[in-house]
Amino acid sequence: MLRNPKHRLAPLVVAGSLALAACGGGAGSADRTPTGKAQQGGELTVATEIAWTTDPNDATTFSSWTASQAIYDRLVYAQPDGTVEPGLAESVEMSDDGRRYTVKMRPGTTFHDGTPVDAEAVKISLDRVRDPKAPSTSAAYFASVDTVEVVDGRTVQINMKSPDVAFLRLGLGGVASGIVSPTALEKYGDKIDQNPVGAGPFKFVRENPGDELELERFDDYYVPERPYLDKVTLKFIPDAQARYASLTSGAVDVIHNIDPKSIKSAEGNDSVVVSHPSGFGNNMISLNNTRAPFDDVRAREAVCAATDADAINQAVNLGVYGTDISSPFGPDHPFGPAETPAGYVSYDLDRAKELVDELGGLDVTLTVASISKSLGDAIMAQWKAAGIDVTGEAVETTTAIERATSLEYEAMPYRYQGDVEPDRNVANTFVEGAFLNTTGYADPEVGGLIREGRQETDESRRKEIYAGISDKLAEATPMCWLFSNDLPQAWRSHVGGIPDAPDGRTVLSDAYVTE
Amino acid sequence: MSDVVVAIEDLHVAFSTPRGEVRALRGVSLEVRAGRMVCLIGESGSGKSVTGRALMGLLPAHSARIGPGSMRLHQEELLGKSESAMRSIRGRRIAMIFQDPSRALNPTRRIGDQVGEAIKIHFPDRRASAVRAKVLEHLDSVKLPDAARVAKKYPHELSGGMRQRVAIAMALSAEPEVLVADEPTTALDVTTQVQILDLLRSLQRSRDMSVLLITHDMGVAAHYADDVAVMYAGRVVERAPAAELFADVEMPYTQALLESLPSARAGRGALQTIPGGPPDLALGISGCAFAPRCRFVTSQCKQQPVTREVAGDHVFECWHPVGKESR
Amino acid sequence: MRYLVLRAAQLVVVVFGVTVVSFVLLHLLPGDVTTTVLGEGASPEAKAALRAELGLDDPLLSRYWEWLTSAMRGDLGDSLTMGYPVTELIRLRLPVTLELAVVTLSASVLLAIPTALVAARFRNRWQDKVLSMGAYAGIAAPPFLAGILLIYVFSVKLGWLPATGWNPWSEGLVAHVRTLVMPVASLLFVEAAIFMRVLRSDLVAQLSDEEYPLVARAKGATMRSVMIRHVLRNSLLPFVTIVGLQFGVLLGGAVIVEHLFALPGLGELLVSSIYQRDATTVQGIVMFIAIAFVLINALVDLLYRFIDPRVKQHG
Repeated sequence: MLRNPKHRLAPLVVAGSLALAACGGGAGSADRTPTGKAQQGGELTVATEIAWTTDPNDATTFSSWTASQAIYDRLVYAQPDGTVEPGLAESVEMSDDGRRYTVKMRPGTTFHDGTPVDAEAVKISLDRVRDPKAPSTSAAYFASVDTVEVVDGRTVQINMKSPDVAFLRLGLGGVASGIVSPTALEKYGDKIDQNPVGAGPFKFVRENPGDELELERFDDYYVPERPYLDKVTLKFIPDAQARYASLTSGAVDVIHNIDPKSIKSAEGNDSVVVSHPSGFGNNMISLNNTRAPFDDVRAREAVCAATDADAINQAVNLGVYGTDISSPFGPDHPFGPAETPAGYVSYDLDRAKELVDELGGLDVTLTVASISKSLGDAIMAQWKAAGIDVTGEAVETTTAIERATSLEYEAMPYRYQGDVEPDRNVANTFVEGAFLNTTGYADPEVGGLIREGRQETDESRRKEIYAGISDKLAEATPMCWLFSNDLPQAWRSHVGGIPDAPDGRTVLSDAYVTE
Repeated sequence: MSDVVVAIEDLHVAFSTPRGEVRALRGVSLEVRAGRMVCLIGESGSGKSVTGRALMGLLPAHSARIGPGSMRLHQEELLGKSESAMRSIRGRRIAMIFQDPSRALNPTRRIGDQVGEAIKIHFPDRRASAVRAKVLEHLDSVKLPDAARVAKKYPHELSGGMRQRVAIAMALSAEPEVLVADEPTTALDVTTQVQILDLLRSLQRSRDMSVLLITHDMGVAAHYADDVAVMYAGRVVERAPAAELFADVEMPYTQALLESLPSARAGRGALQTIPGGPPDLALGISGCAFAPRCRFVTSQCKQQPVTREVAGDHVFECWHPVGKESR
Repeated sequence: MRYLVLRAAQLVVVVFGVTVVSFVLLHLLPGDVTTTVLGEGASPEAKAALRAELGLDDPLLSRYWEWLTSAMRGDLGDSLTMGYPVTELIRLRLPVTLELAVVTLSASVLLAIPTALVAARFRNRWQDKVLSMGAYAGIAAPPFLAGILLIYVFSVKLGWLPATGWNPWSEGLVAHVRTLVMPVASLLFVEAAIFMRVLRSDLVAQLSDEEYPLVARAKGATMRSVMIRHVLRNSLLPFVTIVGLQFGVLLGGAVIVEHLFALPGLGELLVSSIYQRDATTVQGIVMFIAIAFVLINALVDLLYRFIDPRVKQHG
């Protein structure tokens, strides 16, 4: 049974032993709820940090997720606490062997254009994700899918090539499960991003590409009395300071990715509420384990022991991000280790100096994306204090990504986005040859654990598996963890109903204004 | 004397420069009488242009210190007049033409506009058509063929001589009684020089105008002047009616200038130049400023020579005059 | 006629040169658009598939040729990241940038001319020193800082103006002007200072090298009339040149201000497209700006002829 306080709909049924947490921290604690009650009507403007696409197939950023999710309802929703809530799907059932998902749709749901949201529409959308000619940015999460079958008007059966538990949250609960109107797809083809038609709470009005997106209430949304808002506008404001100033001056109601300085400033501002859950992923110093000096574990331990994450967080982020991390999982990740793994290398300057002496000196080049210069400077200062001979090298962001993924560097500040689905935090990064494996780390045992975790349907058993992975990684120290990868938002205090979102997106289906 | 139009008496002008104060005029005295052409002659730097501009009130207000001394137009003292009072005199009662006609005309405005400007300034009530008629009349009077066509042209479409004619028409457009002509022909070729000077003289005579012709060319003075004033190092060292002066030069400097005239010597050999150069006006000068270059210098020359009169209107300052006075 | 042919030839050469250079430079930059479109976490297979779909693996020359031939038919292609036709993106964004540029330049010119006249008129005196100091400060104060300061004072502290955004004309004059004021003001002082310095130095040169200002005074003209009726027009050539140049710069280069105030302008689009390696959008905008530059140049030439009668003879 699943909690479903908001939608008051039939619960999501998951067969087999895939048990989902019964409850979790909801959105907005008491002191953050506006004094007025939720009410119908009103408008809301959300200022985004980056431009968006509305097409769920192409959405890779929190701006796009916000836009896309407002227009396209997903089949199910993976919540920050790990629970899964129904969306367009009434229920999702997984077979005991984990090789088959059965998706049952709600009756009588329609798209903005009046087309019914039926099994056929779901099949068309899911097949579109996997179209080899124009692959979705989420195609990797659908890699285990073999075929999608229409069983009856409301039922779709998804046959898997191999058991894949992660598919529930990343695939069915991911942005790409936003179901697109087949009528609109037929009509607009690959221009669907300019003419989006979904079954979400808001429908498309107009767009000034890369600047402004205007949405209005979808009156036939399947949840009664939702959404509250008549109109939602997304506005692109790239500069962090300008974004915050726009919020405090009332030009916008919600801002994405509020910067640390503004978070500090908002503490003294009654008209602003900061929503700052910890991110699912982390920032770290990636180390190239495949070449000297970091092919030697002592060298990796030396730099990690020399790294005072708290001080760096203080210097670079005014201390606002979480540093209570010792694994690939963010501080509050439901699958993260309960306590610091035994072999984890914490900050210990004496130990770092010892190790450097033992190595007979340590000579390192730190490659830094030019936008992360202050972070690079902070790291170098600490490493130098431990007697490490470190040279900085600034490169452009795109170059940094390429150098990291092709293992053409020694050490580099980097970050992993992560997801509430733990597989996302480890499978692409700690498996030999995985495309985001920036360390070159290759332990067959860990690779086996990751595979096992993806196929294990028992939730508590999964937690043990990921704790085991965290232990193994702490021993091997392939990289040094710094602080969580947060995407905090802020809104004006008359805004309510927006849940805290570790991935930085703004969920607007229950949002309201009290003015 | 009642026919004195301009009387400059003991005029001092000093400029503040980065090198210190330059005393450009050190007590200039000069008279311009009605209907006469007075040539103010001297080497460059002697202060003749400064004298002309001082009379026009055109010295840069923030760097020039004018006075003590006196400049009178008829009986009216000009020194110390306000800028707006001077504006009503400039162009209307005393006008000026400058050395280089190609720089004196505004390259972006039509000839007619530029000639008419002074008329519009000083006769603001005059109608546009009357101004235009007056402009054409003045262009005619400086012997420009097809005045109507010239009025529509821009300066770059005219030759140097034509431009200087335009400049003269421009200066005379508001019918001034005194014209200061500051080396008006220096920038022109020899034939044009003669034409312009002839024109100036005929205009001066036909209008009974007084002209202060500033030149460094003794030949011009000899040919055109009614009266001559010789300047050296910020003072007028000798002045007299032209006939009187050329008959009886007193000041050795004037004599030297005359000797440098080609016509004064046989043949076409090198010009006889005066050895040395004029003194630095930034330094204090005591005694006769010409003394260091003078053939007749004595210890007496260390004192400022007194001004002496030969006849009533021939004055000079020298301890050792070379003309009648020496006898 | 000969002039027109010359201009047309210039247009072709400039546009060709600029687009080739930008095409090659964009190609030489590390990374490609697939990272933007697919996200950092995209698999190499997905990237390869997208590269093939976008034709990014074709030889550089054939890609350029294909782009050029469709560009000549007026088709600049679709944005690789946004999917919209590039011509449509330019059409949507040009009015913002154009208005920002025109209003900024007009205001700067209106500010620069009187201050330059006063500074030149009172050269080396206190009026000149105060104004020249102001101009130095204007040049030294980057528009970004000026913008931040303006937002802080007028939006955050006083709440008079919206901090960001752009209200089009359709939302009414007042709403429109409210979003225009601060972006213009942030650019105004730099532009006005540049113009003022150029104009002042030429006015001073006219006053000291030429005699006609003195001649005009000798006619009895006031200094004010000398400055305005005589000297100013003769100093307009370098002034018009720099204004034309800055116009071109603002068309593609008011990036920082557009970024700060979240204005949907061409410059912001150009820069974000470069970051995202959106080659078609970059190419389209670059070509557009190159054409605009040539046209502005031609306009400046025409103005020359209007201002200075001497230009005709050499032209």
